[in-house]
Amino acid sequence: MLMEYSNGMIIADKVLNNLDKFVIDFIGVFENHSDYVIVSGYVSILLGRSRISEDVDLLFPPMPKDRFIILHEDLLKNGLWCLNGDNIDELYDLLDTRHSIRYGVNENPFPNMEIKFITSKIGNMALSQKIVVRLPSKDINISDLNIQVAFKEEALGSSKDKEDARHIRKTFAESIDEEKIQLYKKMLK
Amino acid sequence: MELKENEEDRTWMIEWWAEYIRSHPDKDWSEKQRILIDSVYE
Repeated sequence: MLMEYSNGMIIADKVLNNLDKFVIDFIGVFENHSDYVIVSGYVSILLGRSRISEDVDLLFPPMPKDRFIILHEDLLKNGLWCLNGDNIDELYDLLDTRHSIRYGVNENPFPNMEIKFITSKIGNMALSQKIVVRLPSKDINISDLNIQVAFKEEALGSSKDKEDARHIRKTFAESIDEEKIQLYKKMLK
Repeated sequence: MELKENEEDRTWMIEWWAEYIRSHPDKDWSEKQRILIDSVYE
């Protein structure tokens, strides 16, 4: 089966690697508490890019502290730990001041899930226009491919980011909309 | 000059791999990706 993209869904009959399994396990807990969208480097890796990453970026809508406490405790209960510490007030303050916090598994710092509240227009668009990658055992929400390319090329722009964008452009050439990419790039300026 | 050539070579590899993904079953390319990633994350 070849990877295919239609109607907001990419079906990928992948052999899962350990980074995919880490993300699947994390999402299995996280999605019980909040909507989310995965952005940046792992999106390219999920879709075949031949590199590794030390972290995975997850955006989610701001939530009140009492809901975050429940989410945090559920993550800990399921074998995750927070690299930023265990003071729940400080962790929430980080999120609430536009910082990220990171969770690893089994006391390992890598890979880790870097989670952050959505505070920007482009972040909200990434969430509202998210697409689904259907893996053999799990659906994962990722940002729209055009937003992904625009963000990598315009907002980030390192060699690695440009290569991630090129991978998506080439692998999903029929689905790339250059007009949309240019529009998103204007929003990012 | 060397940097430019290096960038061109990397771009060639990315495009080669993307074409491989487009022309081979998911189980094929993802097994190769799995070997790479799992060599780091055991």
